Amino acid sequence: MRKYILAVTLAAASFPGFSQTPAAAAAQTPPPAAVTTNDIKNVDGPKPEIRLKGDPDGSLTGTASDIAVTDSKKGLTVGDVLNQIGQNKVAINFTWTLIAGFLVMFMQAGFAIVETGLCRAKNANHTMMMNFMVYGVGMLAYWLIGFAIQMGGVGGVANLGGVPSLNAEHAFTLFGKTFGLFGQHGMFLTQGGTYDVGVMVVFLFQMVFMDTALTIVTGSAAERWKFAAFLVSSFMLGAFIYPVFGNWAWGGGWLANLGTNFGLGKGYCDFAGSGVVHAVGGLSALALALIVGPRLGKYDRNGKPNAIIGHDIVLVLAGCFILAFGWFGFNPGSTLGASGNGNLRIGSIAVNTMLAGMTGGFGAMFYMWMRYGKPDASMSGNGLLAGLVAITAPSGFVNSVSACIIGLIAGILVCLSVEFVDRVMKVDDPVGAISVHGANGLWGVISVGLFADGKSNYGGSWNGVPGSVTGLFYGDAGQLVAQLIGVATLVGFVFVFSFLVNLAIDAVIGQRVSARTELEGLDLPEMGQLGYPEFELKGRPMVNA
Amino acid sequence: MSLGITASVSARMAIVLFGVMVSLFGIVGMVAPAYVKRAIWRKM
Repeated sequence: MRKYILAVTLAAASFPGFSQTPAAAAAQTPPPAAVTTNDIKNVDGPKPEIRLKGDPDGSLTGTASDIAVTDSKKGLTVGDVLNQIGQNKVAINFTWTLIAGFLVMFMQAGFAIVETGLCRAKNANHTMMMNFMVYGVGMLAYWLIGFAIQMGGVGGVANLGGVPSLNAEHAFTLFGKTFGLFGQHGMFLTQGGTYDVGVMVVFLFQMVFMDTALTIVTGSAAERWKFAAFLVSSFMLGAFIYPVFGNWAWGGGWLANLGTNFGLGKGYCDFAGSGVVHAVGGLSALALALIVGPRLGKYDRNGKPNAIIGHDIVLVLAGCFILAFGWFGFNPGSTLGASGNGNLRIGSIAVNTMLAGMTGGFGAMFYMWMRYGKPDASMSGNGLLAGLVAITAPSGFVNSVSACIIGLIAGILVCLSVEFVDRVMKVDDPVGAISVHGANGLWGVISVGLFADGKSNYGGSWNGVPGSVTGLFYGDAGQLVAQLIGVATLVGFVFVFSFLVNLAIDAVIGQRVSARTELEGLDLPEMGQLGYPEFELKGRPMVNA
Repeated sequence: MSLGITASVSARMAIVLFGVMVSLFGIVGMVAPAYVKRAIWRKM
């Protein structure tokens, strides 16, 4: 019957004789009536006998009968319908964020095989074990205290149902402004009312991000890092160093409030973590690489660098693909939702991510081809990663042309940075982690302040400042200043903090294995088992093509 | 706390760029050379 009435109404409205001018229609149309419980009282789902026949086209599945009714005597009410709509929105956002988090978790496998492939076979077990155990060590540290420091005072996540219990930020006041320093709710995911479904989703997503930062460090110190020191260093990074900067940028800390406090754009903006994840990891990698020193044979007595070739380029490039796949969780997932608050921009974010990775790979490949005569495979892979790292911060704020430019610059920058770190600074970084994640993490942060086009709209504001994030090229120089303050904080604070922590670990445990262990390969002395026990590991003469 | 010194975006930009340069110089120009001085390959 309702279908019949609807059909008659539509037919009447579309018939020319019934058409009205807009003004006349406006004058005669009664004000819209609110939907009442009576309107939905008689809305029924399909009858059980019909459902028993199956639902091959899906038209009978998911109807009013699936809405939870709070009082069976009253039947379906408007309140029930509205509650279901709200829960559907949060459920969509939970599902989106969790699946994105699962993708990011799988990036650990990508990092593991990239790093192992770039190291020598005699250290394969050790390198894989570091990448394997950093997942657990980081998670433990983050669950104990890191999450509370980072997100304990974020003050709510609208997409995930509010999570109001994350509301305790330790702050101080200066110039009449409040500066957030660290959060205080969420230790063990029970303290401070944080035994909450929304908090769990936030934790999972933030935890896998933190673990990404930790696994960056294992690359720069590979092939000479003592395993015990690695465990302690990773714990400290996951418990304190990463969460502190994470709080300042994402947890309601002082960097995020540069906009509300000082009118600098929308405050420090780092959509998915070029700074929070990659620059923190890259700068910690630099601090550690300085402390452990170069591998034996990396430099001759005159300081001239020697190339130490990794043992499996197939692993390296396969790992890069896994990482590129995981990045679709990293960047689009950082909306923390797919429904509401402008989150449909996830399509644009995903495309920006893949484009920047592509131009990054091209940038590095052509740079190496022109400079050295060959399209270097490992640097092409690093170029892809560099493009992905650089687009991580701006992915939610820029258009696709800007994404391509950001990625291309990143691909060239990673090559220049590798040469600079290797030849000028004389820092040995076996996998290029400092350049891929450190240099390009900083570039990504800066690029937000340049390329953000002011078209994004995540609920009408960002970091509490109304409007869209807009960079220098689109008219807001203040945003670039906010980004540069973030860069200064990363270089001036995070590096120093990480350096001092690792220096202390060096003094107590010692960071570097003995020369004998290093020459033998770390697999047997440190892990007790070779990565490739059936292989004969020996030096072979290199033939230059 | 340079932000409290001036409200001019250009001045703030100059101050923060100076801060970035000082930090980078500290790493590249001071810490790294200090480690290179006693690097393992110098002892070989």
